[in-house]
Amino acid sequence: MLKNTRQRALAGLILLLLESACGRPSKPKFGKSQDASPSDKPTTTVPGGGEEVPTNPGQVDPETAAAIPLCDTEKFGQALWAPTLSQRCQSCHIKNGLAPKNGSAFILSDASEPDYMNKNFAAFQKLAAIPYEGTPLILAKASNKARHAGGKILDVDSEAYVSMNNFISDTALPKNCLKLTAETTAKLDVRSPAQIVRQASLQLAGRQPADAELQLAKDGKIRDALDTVLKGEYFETFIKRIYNDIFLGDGFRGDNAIEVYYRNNGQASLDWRDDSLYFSVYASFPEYQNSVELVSYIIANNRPYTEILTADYLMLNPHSACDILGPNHDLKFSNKCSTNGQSLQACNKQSFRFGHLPFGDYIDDCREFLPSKPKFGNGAPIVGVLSDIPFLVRYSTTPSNRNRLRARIIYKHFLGLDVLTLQGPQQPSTESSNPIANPTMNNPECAACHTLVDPVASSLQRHNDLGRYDRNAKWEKDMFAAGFNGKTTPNEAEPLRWLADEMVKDPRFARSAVMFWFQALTGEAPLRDPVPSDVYYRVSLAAKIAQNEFFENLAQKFAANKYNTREMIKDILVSPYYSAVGIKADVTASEKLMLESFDHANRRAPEETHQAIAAVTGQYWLLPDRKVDDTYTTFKKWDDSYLMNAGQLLVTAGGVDSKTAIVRNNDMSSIASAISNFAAVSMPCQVVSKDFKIETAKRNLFPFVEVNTVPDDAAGSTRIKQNIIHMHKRVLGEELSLESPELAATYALFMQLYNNHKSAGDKTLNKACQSPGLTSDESYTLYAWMGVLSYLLNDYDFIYQ
Amino acid sequence: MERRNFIKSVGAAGVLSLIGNRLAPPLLAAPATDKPLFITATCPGGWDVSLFCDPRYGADFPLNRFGEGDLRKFGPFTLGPGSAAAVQFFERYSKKIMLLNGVFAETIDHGVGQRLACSGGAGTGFPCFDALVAASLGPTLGLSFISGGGYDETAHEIAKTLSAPSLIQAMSSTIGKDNVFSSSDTSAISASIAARLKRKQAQAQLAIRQKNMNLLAQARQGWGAFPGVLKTVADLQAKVPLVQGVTGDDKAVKDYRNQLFLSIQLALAGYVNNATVSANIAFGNCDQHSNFPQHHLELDGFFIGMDYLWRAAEYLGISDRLNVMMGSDFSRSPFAIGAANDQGKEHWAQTTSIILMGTNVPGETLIGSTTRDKSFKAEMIDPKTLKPAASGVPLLRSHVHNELRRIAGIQDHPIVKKYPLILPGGPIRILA
Repeated sequence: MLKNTRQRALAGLILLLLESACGRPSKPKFGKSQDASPSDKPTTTVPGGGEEVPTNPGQVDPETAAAIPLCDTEKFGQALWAPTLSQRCQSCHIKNGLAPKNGSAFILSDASEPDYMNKNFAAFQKLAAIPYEGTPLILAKASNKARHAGGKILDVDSEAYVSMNNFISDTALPKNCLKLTAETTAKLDVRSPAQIVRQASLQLAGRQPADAELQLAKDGKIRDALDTVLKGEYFETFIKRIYNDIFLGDGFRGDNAIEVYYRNNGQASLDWRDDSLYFSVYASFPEYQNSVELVSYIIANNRPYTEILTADYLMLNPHSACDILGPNHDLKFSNKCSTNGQSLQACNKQSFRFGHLPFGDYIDDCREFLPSKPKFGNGAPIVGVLSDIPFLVRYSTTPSNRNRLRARIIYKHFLGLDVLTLQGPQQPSTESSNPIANPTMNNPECAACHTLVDPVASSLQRHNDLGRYDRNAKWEKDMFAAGFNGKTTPNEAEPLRWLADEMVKDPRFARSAVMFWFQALTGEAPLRDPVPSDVYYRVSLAAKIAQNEFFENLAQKFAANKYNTREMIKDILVSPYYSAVGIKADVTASEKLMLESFDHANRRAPEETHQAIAAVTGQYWLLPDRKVDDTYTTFKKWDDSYLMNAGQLLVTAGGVDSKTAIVRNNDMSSIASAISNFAAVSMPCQVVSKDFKIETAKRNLFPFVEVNTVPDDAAGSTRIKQNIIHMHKRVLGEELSLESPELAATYALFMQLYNNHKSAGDKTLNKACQSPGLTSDESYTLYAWMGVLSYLLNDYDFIYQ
Repeated sequence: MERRNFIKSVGAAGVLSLIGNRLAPPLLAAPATDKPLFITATCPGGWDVSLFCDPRYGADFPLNRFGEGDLRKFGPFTLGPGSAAAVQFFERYSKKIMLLNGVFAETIDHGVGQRLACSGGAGTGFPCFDALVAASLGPTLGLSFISGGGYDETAHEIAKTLSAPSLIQAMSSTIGKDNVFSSSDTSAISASIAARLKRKQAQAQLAIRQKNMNLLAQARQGWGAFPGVLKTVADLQAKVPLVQGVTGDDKAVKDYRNQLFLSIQLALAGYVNNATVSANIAFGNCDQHSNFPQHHLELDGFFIGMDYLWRAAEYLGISDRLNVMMGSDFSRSPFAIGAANDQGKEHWAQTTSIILMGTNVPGETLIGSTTRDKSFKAEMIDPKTLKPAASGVPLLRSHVHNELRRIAGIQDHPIVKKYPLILPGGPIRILA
């Protein structure tokens, strides 16, 4: 299975390079190459490292990499931390975990924390320096020679014990650890500010950059340029899409369950609309949209990101406002979702046209949401997304699960901690000669994780499987009480509210937000803790530590800046993690491998491709015979498209339906590439002749030529080339000159197609490609231009971003 | 030069150009895999087995308005008259059918029931059987797992391909079919695309970009199976009637392009062209709430579809290479929900039925039974003799899936081992 992780990319780099260069794997030895003696190779000193490595990374092989001596921290990481401490000890000895709860001072940092390896090495050294009956205390504890609350972890004759002992005895380890320095990072080839703005504009604003934005970027004011990019309807749609990938609320589309849960919760008063289940199917939209509308509102309005957990308001549209606030509510909607001119605040059935529209599309498209603070009869608190009913139902609970799934999701998405990884590959033993009563509290094997998970799970004790709130809900005592980070929820506090307030104070909250946006923008998951078998361990560790530091710096800035998400997004966009496209200077092999950690090449999501097609051609890619009609609701428009409709190609192209397809698949497959090709051969027919009918200067694609501009003379040829340069820039963001080989290649394609048709005397233009007044290919240029556009839309730089 | 290397050497453009001009692979080409095509077919919603394959009538089943004289027998099977198409299906295929009655359904939750039916596990995120088959046996094929509905969770182990008319269009686009470019234009454009990708591959300095470019080039090479798939689909659409000689309601085929039939066509065509190893297919809506009078139509539609599957497979010469499991979320209660009978029956966890057909399935075999009265409950079976036994174990969907994994030869695959089944009483050997 391709996981597309950076770790794999790093580990597989050399073989990949060799395979692509030679067509077969080979193993030239560093310093032992058959082609050249070691003295033939230029060498460079690795900043912070000290050892010599060749400048040609293609000649480093795993054996050579493994032979490079590790510094003390790297050796600790590869020999002790990765195979043993992170797998066997961390689950208890993590901050606020079971061990510190029981008084242990040996605390290990999670791999997402800044400088985690040095901290862990220091903690290890401190414990190793204490003797216990002739044995370093760390070993005495691990073997339970000195009483260990977690019992015996390692046998004294185990490989892990011996390895740890040897490490402690080895005092000759070098101190010069490999670092990813600013000097090395400066060797990256990065996008220019204008190119960053273009890239961000297509990705986040769904459009070409404005001239003013490009000028600001060129003038050194890129953050000002990005300020207008990070605004508007598409940006908000982007936010909702990426957060829906977590909340999965869209899975309730066409499902009346959420409406029913609101009603059962006493959170909806439906008398005003003489409701029936039939209508509620279509009326559930505002309920399942609340969570993503909340995030969008927070980010778009520069509100503190902490409100994602702490907001004491709901986002209501004209329909849910009537349901939840009652007919006399005072929210001032702009009425822009009205289609019949009636006031939507009247909360009368006719104004919402229940029963008049067969598919309820009007209600689905009532997309104006405003914040409001309703008071519920049952005292249900509003606590950001944590109390959102669709969220609680999507991640529901059972009498035995007791909110632990919810707790795991909360840890994962808001604190960046996957609790399932804490235990490592080892499963708790299922058999015991002395079964321990209530193991989640009393068996260290289980309690290690449950010490973290269960207080959060218990904080949701008043929300049942359907999200219904009951202040007096009974909660069992055989589970760790509600709390967080080692603190117990005060008796008088509402557990969920208290949890949210505590969580946003945890530095992991800001860091996880940065990491979430990093992945959303670059398509790359944060680097993982290197595994011990990684032959490039020291390089991977250096890259990981540098990236952790990047996240931490941004997180601190984010918090200091009142959790302004748009500013944090700008920080990522202007960083080399977003702008790197290559390497511009000579680098050592280690440097090159470290610089790989900046690489990202994200296959556009189907929704992004849908928007990008419109951004470059001026038209969406729709099903046959469908037309863009402004009166259509958003869902109707999406349903008419190939890439926004789960019943068409959305899921097959890698998207989610939020029901059974809930994880995006960014991998390239034959069918995914066929879908890209389908768009690339369909769109030219739909847009080329139409674009020629637009006033020349305002055209999307052909501002330098007319239909009758032919390459038969120098003037015509030059104009065609100028237009090709324009198309490369518009479709691919690629800047070509008149001397560029890529221009020559595209021009050659144009000429081939032009000559194909001219020599055949074929002026026929397929009916589907015609536009009024342009019904034949009189000058043989239309198919040539269609072919050029198809070529560009099928290009790697359009399929990926 | 080996074919694989030849394709590699000419690159995507070469392949694309070749595809546009060459003949598709032989229509009835033998699939390369030695495994059968695995298909899971469900009628989502919870079918009422008391109307057809486990018939009940009399005072305890007031909505089942038939009597003993209405029953039909085919070998060991007794069919109620609740679905004419089901009766006819058993009549036609009884020699291939293994019917499991008295499968304890365990749940009245639609979601859980669908997960159990298609995966053997109850948990969310548990991959369906067909996804596991595809991930194990055909991870690199172009259309390895085709989903035509039902519970089709993949747990990200394999990319699923949803059957849709636009999928045909997407595949067609790779061979210049139905698009506006002539074959010579297509060749020129394809060659330029491939040449450009090669130039970019040579220039790329960073590994992720390089890897993605390689993947894109490789993915385009996978288009080689598409012409054959398209040709076979077209052939099936032209030669095999959707409905043939059935007396049930044919409402399911009123729309000739019915996506459900397309799923079957794609699965079979993918298989014979070595692009597909498994498929999920869902027919109709067997949820009876507010729809009791229509339930027989839903069942008819389902079995008309199943009949089409076997006829199409026979036409392609692979009827001995299929393995099909049919089921639903659970069954329906003996009684009506409310006073008004047409409100239908309630969800019923006490039993459901599964129909197995194809490779390794002993035909004309009935396993399991249910109580006769209104308790309508799955009876325990002896896991060795497969006969009813009060001291036996309940027959569960997990047992059936365990058998499917065994005959597919994937039970020890590392991916499959990540998703263990819960088997009370241990495995039950049902299949050959």
